[in-house]
Amino acid sequence: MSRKRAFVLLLSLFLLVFMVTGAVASNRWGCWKYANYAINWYNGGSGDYWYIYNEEARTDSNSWHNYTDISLTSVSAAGSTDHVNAYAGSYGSTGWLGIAEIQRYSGCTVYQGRSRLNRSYLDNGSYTRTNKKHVACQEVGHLFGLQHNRSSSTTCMNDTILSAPYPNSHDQSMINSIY
Amino acid sequence: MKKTTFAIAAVAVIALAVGSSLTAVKTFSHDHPRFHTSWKDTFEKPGQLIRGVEAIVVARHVGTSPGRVAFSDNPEDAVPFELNHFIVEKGLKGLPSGSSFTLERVGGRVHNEVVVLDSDGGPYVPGERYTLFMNRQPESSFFYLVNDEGRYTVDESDRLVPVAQQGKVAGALAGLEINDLVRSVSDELRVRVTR
Repeated sequence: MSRKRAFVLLLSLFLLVFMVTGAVASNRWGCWKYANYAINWYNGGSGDYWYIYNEEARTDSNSWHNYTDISLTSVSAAGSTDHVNAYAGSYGSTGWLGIAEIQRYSGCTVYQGRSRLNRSYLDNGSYTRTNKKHVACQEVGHLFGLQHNRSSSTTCMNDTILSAPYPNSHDQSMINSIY
Repeated sequence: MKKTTFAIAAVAVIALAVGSSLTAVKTFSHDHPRFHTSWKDTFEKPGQLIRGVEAIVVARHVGTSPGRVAFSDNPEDAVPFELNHFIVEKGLKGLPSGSSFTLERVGGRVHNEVVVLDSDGGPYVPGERYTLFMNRQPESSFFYLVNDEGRYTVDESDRLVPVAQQGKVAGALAGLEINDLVRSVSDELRVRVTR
């Protein structure tokens, strides 16, 4: 085999491996994304959940707003145009700690997303504030276009742990490539 | 290597690469699910799931009715629930064969908004058979699905088809025959389960 042919064949094999592993390593949620990086942030949480949401979304140094290209503008009312609306409540024994919902969209573009934290579990004494922050971070991260990532223990997008309340560098790269 | 052999090999590798990529893109760009759920309980192995839930059944869905509405602390947001009614065809744990039960899940209409949860496999289909791993609500007699890896449809050859897109447990149970599941539950719980 000539060197040129061997090179082309090796390149093809590399391409194969790259395409497959690259896709698997992605924790992109479908094709969901807001129209652009500037998103309205409505915090409908109460008590400490208001602070938890705000810290995870906007104010902590590793929050989505400060750590990624996402730019959140706090607004005083829930909305349906480029809005994330965040809530917490005692929803009962549902099996879930939190839930993220794409409410209004066109094609892949999200206009309105909603996050909910289930206080029926989170307030039962079994969960630390870090655990609650992890869930809040994860639900908001979903709305920006990320799905669960069970291959890393350093991201809030891992749904099998509750001890990593921030996005990691992989999430940062993903978000910045989306927006 | 001959030119033709090389050409065929190169085309095959490139086709495989593109095909794999398209498959991966297809897998990750399904734009139908609109919910993502952070489940309270997740499991690494089928044995943990079997031991960790209160009820395991093969059951037939017989109907759905509207349930409660739960409000967020900020009452402008509300979550509707629906009640799914089942008949147990094979009770593996916690519920006897022939009994009935109700499973509560998010869904329904509230504030002129129709909510269709899709992160747990979506609405149940009347007449369809499911294998379900559930817990009982302490505040009611209803059950709830432990997580999306706790729900399987049962195909014509009595094999489990997971609804979960990912997860070790769903991967391990996928394709398992009901009789093998009965055996696994029996072994795991060290009790005799009627086959």
